[in-house]
Parts: sequence; structure tokens; C-alpha cells
Amino acid sequence: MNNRISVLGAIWLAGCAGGVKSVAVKAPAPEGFAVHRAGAGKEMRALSPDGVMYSARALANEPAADLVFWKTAMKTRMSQAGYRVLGDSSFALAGSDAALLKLAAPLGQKDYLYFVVISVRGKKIWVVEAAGEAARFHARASEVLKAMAAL
Amino acid sequence: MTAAAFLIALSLASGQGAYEGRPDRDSGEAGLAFAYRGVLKVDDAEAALKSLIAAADTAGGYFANKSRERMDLRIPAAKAQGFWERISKYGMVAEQNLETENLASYISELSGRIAAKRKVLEQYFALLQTASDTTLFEIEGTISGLQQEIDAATGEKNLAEDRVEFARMSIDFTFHDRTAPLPTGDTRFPWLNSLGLQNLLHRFGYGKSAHE
Repeated sequence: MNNRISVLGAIWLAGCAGGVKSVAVKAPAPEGFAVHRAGAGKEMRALSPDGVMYSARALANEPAADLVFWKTAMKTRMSQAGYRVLGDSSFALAGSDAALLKLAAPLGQKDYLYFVVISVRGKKIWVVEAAGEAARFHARASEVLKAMAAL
Repeated sequence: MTAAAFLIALSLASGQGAYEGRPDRDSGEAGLAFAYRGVLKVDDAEAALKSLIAAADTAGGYFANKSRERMDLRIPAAKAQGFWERISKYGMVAEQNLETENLASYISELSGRIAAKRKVLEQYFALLQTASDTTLFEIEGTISGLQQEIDAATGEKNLAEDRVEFARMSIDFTFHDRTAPLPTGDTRFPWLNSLGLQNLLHRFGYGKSAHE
């Protein structure tokens, strides 16, 4: 298994000089993960052998808002949806400011851990999600966080 | 009898390592009983159980119950806060809750009740020395009743004192409340509504997305 699986995704990034551009973006998967679906459009997905999921997407920053706004909105939305908020912290995502929300929730017979990192870059919001059954995810949490930080 | 009680419930994020408004364990507030509850997500419940039991033993405490889903610990009150703040090293703390109850007046009241009944009991024992055959049976019955009341009150007092001396800690390895989170949000921000476990599972081919 490659330690870092680079995926080329065609991501439209706005705010670049000369207008909208299609930019090849490297999205490393966590160590021990296989890329489930590579760069088709705006999402990279990777999966661990024991089912821990990892996803990176670039979404439209609409309405245009900064990281503080989205961090608050995201935490409010997830809390209201019934997630337990385990942690809410700042995060450095490839040198950019980002917000990390650590969540947990039961689903069926299993308890899940669910991490979300967001970073605002111009007219796009990078959203990186990772989730899995709690014990399995916990064992891979450090690799997931490393990959998130390297995006 | 009702104990004067107060309750503080604090739910905190994981890994922060400190309670706001937590009781000051050095202030010598006599009679406070502490009950900690939490959900700890671990990758190996058996290993976590062993580690926590060893840690409790080192702290002068012990485990009261244990299973793969839950364990109950008794930790000396003076060390409880520090012990609790360190449980995150055994896993990811998903929920935390602390309740305190002031048992001082309850224990004092029980002590007073026991002392009063013992005094009455001594008087009945004195009466027993001079009792006639006709009153002997009645006095013995009263003594027996008093002794039972004293034993019951002493048991309650011992239990209350034990709760003050040893903090209760209940650590669950799974959520009690099994209510699943809502699959989608109702915010006015569409991308936020695309977040969530169910939507992520769907994008990986498990089930159907509620966001669609």
C-alpha cells in the first residue's frame, strides 16, 4: 500500500489571477488507505481495509463567508443534528488556516467517530471528512490527521 | 430524611483536560460526594479495562463492576479529579459528566439519629435488668427493633461516608443513547447539509443519502 497516494482531481479554484482555473490538486490518502474513487470531479475518497472512510471535496463557498463563520455554522448544524462534539480546534491544512471538528454518534449498533476539517480558499471551501466505527477509527486517527494536514 | 444536595452537570469537549467550575479538591469541602460519568471510545476495550483497573489500583482505588461495555471504579476523592483528567490517554473521551452531592448534613443527621437511638437502647438495657416477667418480652422486642434501626442507619451512614471518601466513576465504552444523528441539516447553507455520517456512508456506497 502506498503511504501517500496522490490523486489528481480537477478542482475549479476561483480567485486565481486571470479568472477561474482548473487546477490539479494532490490529495494524499492516509497511510494504509486505498483510493476508493480518484478525483472524479470534486471529491477524493479513500478507504481503509477495515472500513474507515476518508473524503476530500472542494465545494462552493456560498454564501461567501470566512472560516470563523463556517466553523460556527458547522458546529451548530452538527450539534443540532445530534452529534456529540468531542473537540473543536484550529488546524493547519497545508499552511492554510482550517477548523477541525471531532464528532461522535451512534448509528445502528455501532458508535462512529467522525472528523471534519474545513478550510476556506477563495470561492471554495475544502471539506475533508473521515469516519469509521469508533474503535477502528481511533486506531487510525493519527494517520487520518496526518493526511488531513498534508492536503 | 433528605440530604441537602446540589448538582453540577458539566458536559465538555474531549481532550480539553479541565472542567470549568470544577470543584476545588484542595479546599477541604467535607461531605461532598463526586460521581463522574463518561463515554470513552477505545480501540481495544479489554486492554483499556486492564489499564484503567491498574491505574485505579495505583491511585488507591478499585473497580466495582466491569464488562466489555462498561466499568465502574471507586477512586479516592482526593485523587479523583486528576485521575479523570487523565482517562483520555486510554481512549477518546466522547462524553463527560460530573455530579456532586453534599452529604455532610445527611451524615451528621444520621450520626445524631444513631447516637440518640443508642442512648435509648442503653436505657432499655438498664430497664431489662429490673424487668418483671410480664414486661421482659415487650422490652426485648423494643430492644430488637431499636437495634435494627441503628444497624440500618449505620449502614446508610457508612455508605454515605464511602461515597464521600471514594468518588464513583462510570466509564461506558458505548453510547447509552442510541439515537442516530439526523441524516441532514435544515440550514440555509446547502454544503453544510451535505455533511454527516449517513451522507458520507452513501458516497462510499453504503445505503442511501438523506441529502439527495
